[in-house]
Amino acid sequence: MSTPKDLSQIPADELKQFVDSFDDVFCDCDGVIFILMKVFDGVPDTISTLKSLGKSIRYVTNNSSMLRDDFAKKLQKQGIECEKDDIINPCRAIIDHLKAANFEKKVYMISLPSLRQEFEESGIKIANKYGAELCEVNATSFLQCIQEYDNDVGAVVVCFDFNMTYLNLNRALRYITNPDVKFLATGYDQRIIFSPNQFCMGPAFFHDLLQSASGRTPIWLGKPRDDFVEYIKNQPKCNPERTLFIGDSLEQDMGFAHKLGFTKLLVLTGNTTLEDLKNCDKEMLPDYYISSMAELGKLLKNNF
Amino acid sequence: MARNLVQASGVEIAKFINSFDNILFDCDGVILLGEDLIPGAKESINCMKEMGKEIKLITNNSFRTTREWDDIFEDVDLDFTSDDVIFPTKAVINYLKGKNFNRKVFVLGQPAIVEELNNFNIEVYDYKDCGYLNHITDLEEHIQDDLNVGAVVVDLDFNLTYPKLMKAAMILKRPDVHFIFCATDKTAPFGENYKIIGSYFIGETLEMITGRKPVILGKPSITYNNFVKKNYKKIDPARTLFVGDSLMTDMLFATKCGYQKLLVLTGTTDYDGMMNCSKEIKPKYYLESLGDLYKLIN
Repeated sequence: MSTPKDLSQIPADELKQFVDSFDDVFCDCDGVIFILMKVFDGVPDTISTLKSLGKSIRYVTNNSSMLRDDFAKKLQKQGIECEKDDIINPCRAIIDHLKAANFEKKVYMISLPSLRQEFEESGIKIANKYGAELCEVNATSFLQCIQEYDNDVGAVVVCFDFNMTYLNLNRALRYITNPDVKFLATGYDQRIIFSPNQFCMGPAFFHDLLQSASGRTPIWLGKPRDDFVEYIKNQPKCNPERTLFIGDSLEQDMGFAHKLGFTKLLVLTGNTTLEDLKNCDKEMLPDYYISSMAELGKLLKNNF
Repeated sequence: MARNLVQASGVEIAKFINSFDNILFDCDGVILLGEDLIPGAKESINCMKEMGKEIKLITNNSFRTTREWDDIFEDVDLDFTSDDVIFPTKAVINYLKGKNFNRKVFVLGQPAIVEELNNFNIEVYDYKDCGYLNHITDLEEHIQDDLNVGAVVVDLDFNLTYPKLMKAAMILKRPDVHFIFCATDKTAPFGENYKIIGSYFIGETLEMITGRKPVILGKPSITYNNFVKKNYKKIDPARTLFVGDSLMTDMLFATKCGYQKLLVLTGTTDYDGMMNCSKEIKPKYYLESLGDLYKLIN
């Protein structure tokens, strides 16, 4: 594997080769397009430039905290041309997974309301009412709650939810211990960052807990997991040889893109610095890097 | 190679019985199943008392207050009082008093722990559940530190919520806050057929988030044994028998403390589990039930 190249420094003919090498772009969002939903300057122009060069753009994010429709609208408001169907997130992947399996039962969900709404809009039935487990319990009422078992539950979906309770986890465990029930998850984040200086604990801890207690691992439908790799590979119009992945994380984006066989472009507006490239795993090395999406746009405009 | 004591010769049984002066009985799964006595358990305990053995009960269960222990002994007609029971809340109180603790305790646990602490004049932080949060940014005001809190005690808490756990983590960021962990079970048998997620994972989650190691005041921690010893004028571990039903809690604890071990199969361990366990914790003797013991003596 060769050393990553600075896209802004390569000779003109190599740049042309690079641009001609892909038809489709999969783009990470946080740290690439925006930070905490605020789009970086210059990004809308870059997107327009890429489209004018005939490239299709899809957005891949691990963020399922907003409806994809709202996510797309938020980007549109900030000048980025995109539609709901251009957004690929774990929520959509789980819905597609269940639909592909002709799933008609109910799902027990630990998640934010946004995922629940997308599920319902897709016609998937949810077993539990959001916030139902936010009730005060004692040993007796807790036992009564645990004894309830809905035979219509055919899947458990575990994601981040700041309204989650111990009762939620135990109910999920009951269903997960039934091997016929599907077990699906979105992310394994240790932390969820919700404002520049604040973070709270992510779902990683609850996943460890559920896995230890049940002995089961879920199907993970988020970057950089293999299950999500398979999902992306099976997307319509996904030809790895003609696809570029743009991301800011080594493991979640570059490693992910490597498994997909995509060309890898790293931007430095997010999680990774050039220093980090010196010590990372081979599989996570990008093919190219550039300081930002804005710079990419300028480079393309100047040369094409 | 664990052997059923009923299959030992009279001479061997007598030798065994004479080898200990003290007995520590685990409660749930050994003497009691729920609120009911295991058949023959009372007779065996009385038999050991008549033979002059000093008997105490030891449990990881903080569900009962001292008052409730007194009540249950009365209900099942066992000649014990709550003074004879060693349980984590007592160890917590002893630990805090020993540190001249005079602040508040943030409890992730049952009302019984709160009541016990209050009875011993230790103030408990009045945590009010924040209810439904609309947005993640609403979380911030509910997970603030409170400088009045000087200890966090972790046990099984049916009312644990994400904000409550986050608040505990926030408080524990302060190094002067005592981090105490009671029962460290991974799963807890509940009702007849169900296993629920044990407090082990809640404690482990807090350890991972805060990077802090707790003081563990429950089996199988040696620290708990320091408290056990305080219940005796003098205790010789080699002449103490530990009777329990759990391999990783009771037998491991007994091994670490140097006690003799007797396993019963009326609780969380079955025959195969016992035969497949590691050499270090495998007991020399076992009984199907504590109820078999008194029959051996007569």
